Parts: sequence; C-alpha cells; structure tokens
Amino acid sequence: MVLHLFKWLGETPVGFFMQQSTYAFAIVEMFHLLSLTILGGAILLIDLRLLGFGFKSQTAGQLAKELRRWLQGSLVIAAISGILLLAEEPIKCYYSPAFRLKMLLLILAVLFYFGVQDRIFARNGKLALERTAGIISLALWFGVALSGRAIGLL
Amino acid sequence: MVLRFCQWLYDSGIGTQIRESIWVFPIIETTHVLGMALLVGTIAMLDLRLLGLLFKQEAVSEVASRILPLTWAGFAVMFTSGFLLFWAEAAKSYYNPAFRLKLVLLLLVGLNPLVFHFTIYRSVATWNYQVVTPLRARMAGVFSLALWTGIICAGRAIAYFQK
Amino acid sequence: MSIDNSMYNNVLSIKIMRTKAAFHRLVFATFLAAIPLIAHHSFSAEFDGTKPIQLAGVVTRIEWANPHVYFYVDVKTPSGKIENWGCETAGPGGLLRKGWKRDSLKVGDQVTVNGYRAKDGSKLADARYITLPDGHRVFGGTPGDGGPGDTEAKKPGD
Repeated sequence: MVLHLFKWLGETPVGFFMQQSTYAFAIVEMFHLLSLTILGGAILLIDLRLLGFGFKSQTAGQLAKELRRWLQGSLVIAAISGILLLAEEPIKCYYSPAFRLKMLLLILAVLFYFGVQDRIFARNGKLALERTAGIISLALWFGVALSGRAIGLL
Repeated sequence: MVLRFCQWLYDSGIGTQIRESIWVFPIIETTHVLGMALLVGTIAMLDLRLLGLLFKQEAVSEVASRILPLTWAGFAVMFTSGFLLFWAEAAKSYYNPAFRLKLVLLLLVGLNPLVFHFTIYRSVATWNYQVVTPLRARMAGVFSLALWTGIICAGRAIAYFQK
Repeated sequence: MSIDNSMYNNVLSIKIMRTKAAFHRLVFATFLAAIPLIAHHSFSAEFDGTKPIQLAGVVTRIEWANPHVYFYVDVKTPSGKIENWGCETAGPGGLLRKGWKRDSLKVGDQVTVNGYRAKDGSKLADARYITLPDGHRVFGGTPGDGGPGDTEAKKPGD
C-alpha cells in the first residue's frame, strides 16, 4: 500500500535527516525550484512551438530533440529533490489533496511527453495534432505547477 | 525616506487588502512563482547558447530573437506580481535582508545584458554562428545564470527572514 | 576537423560547466553565509517538534496577514510574571478553511494554544491547536509545513 511506502520513507535515515535538519528542507527546495525553472523553460519552448510560436527554423520534433537532455536532466533533479521534500512530511502529503492531484497530473504529463508527444514529433506537420498536443502538454504541466504550489496553501 | 514610502505602501488600502486577502495574495504569489519558468527558464536557454551548450547550430541572434519575446512577457508578469507582493509587504520587506539581496541581484542581472549589448554583442556578426562564443559573451551567459540562481534562492529565502 | 572541434567543445563544455557550477556555488555560499542561525519557514527549520508548549492567556495583538497570521498572547508564568508570546498560524485563507473567521479571535479574548517552541528559544510558537473563546478547537498549522499534527490532518473536518 502506498501509505506504507510513504510511512517507510519518513522513517528512513534520509527521512529523519530531512525532518530534523534546520537547513535541508530549504536547500533541497531551492534545487527543486531551480530545476523546475529549467524544466518549465524547455517545456514552454517545445509546447509553444507545437502551437506555432517560436523557433520557425526548427520543427517541434527537432526542438524537442535539442532540449531533451535539459528537459530530462532537470526532470530527474526535480524528482529527486521532490522525493527528499516528500520525506520530510510524507504522511501529510499522502493526505493532501493538492499533493495527490499534483502526482496524478505529473504522471499524466510524463506519460504524455514520453508516450504521445514522441509519436507526434515523428509525424511532422500535422498541424491540428501538433496544436492539440501542445495544449494538452501545457495544460498538464501547468496543472502540475499549480497543484505543487497549492500544497503549501490548502 | 525609503522606509516612510514603504510604510505608506504597507498602510495603504491596496497594500492592506492584498495582505489580508483570502485569495488575492495566494494568486499573486502563485503567479509570481509560476512566472519563473517564463522569465528565467527562457533566458537560461539563451545563456546556454552563449555557452555553446544548446542550439549550437543556430545563430546567437536567431536564438535571441526567438526567445526574448517570451522572456519579456515573463518580465511583465514577474514585475507586476512582484511589485504587488512588495506593495502588500513593503514595510516588512524593507528590513528583510533576503529581499534587499534579491533587489541588488535583480539590478545586476538587468545591467548584465546592457553591458553585453553595448560591448561584445556589437561584433556579433563575426561570431554569430560560433559554438564557442567570445569570452565576454560566455561570461555574460555565466553571470546571467549565476545571478538568476541567486535571485530565485534569495526570493525563496524572503519568507525565512520576514518578521 | 569536426572531431577536433567536438573534442574541444566537450573539454570546453566541461570547463564551462565546472566554472558555472563554481559560480553558482559561490552565489549560493555568499547567500547562505548571510543566513543567521534562525531559518524561518518549513516547520523543522524554525520550530522544534520535541519542545511542545501550551500557552494560555489573553490576546494582545493580532496580525491578520498573508503569508501567516500571527497573534500575541500575554501568559502568566508560575512565578507570576507576564510574558508575551507570539503564535504563528496559517494564512487568512488557510484559517478560514478551518472554520476560523477573522473575528473568531479578538484582542482581549482568552485563548489556549498548543504548539511547539521556536528553535532559537525566542517567545515564539507554532500554533498547532488553538482553543478559541467559543470552545471551538482549530488546527492552526500551515499545510505542508511538515509539523506535527500530520496524522490528525487526515480526519475529515480538520
């Protein structure tokens, strides 16, 4: 059960460290924010291109290929820092509606990026398809960001 | 005196309403946080081009012309939301060392492209397609990334010092 | 030609990335050096989960503001001295969602606060549970701050 997993996380040495340290949460959170900034920038460039704005000299697919390392790299850092942040308050997050929504949207966004968008990039030029993909991707990631922010508010 | 101006902003109707609001403050703050991707996330890509790490096949001026409109849109969002947040908290922010540091860094990150533009960028035609751009261009990129990193961290730290 | 170029680029890329990383660390370190021992926000940064405290007294001041609502309580110590304690809670939106209205607590009201002391030893507490004058008990923590009360947060109506 997920609850047991979360509980376990909070009781690992890493969990205890995050809970007791005065600075760890703040520092990890800053890494989370910085990686999200790069991730957001990459996603914006790709999805806006899908919608027809930006690098006209490249297709969305070429742009995605160009940005792949940065997008995936920042996503990894965001994920690792995110897990560390989670370890500081796992049970609270488990029951937080904002956290749950964020995780759901995050899974969908990542699946969409790796699963669907790649196929759409392969078929260059199908305008309606590209536009739809761009809107869906932007909406999903925007939702992730919004619900992530809401964790601290709701 | 600056403090009096900050106190005036803080005590004003608008400042108070934002500060005591249920939704308005959270919405403005959320906009400010999400806007980071639009402002910093995009300019970082241009900086990475200057460092020869991204868009290596594109001319620097081409990358700039594609990215800067987004960055400016981001700036509009961040400046507006940031100013409103400041308005609501002005008297407290005045004493906040993280806020002061953030302002100084913002000033520097604004000067950086100005210097870049009026010096090394003037000769861009000679190095536009180079993957390894001139040292000064690379320095501009490094400064930009370092300063924005500091700005984001200082911005987050404001909450840690707010009394 | 292209091989030389890319090798040079790789070495240069690494050098630049290292310089960048060093730069970032420098900015970070300069900034960190400015933090005094008190780091606010995020429960564990400011408050001590092993130092619970109960405050009972009269409200002297309320700051109904974002990002946190603060209220101050005059507490009588066993020796008879009056100490003024600050209590930090969620923002106006967060409190309202817990049933705490703007006028639920007024200056002059009797209030009981269960919370945790600030790590720096100052007269500041993170107010986890507040018993309002009308007897209503409210959870005052900021959601996601990592403080105790997590297991209680799951109860409906909390």
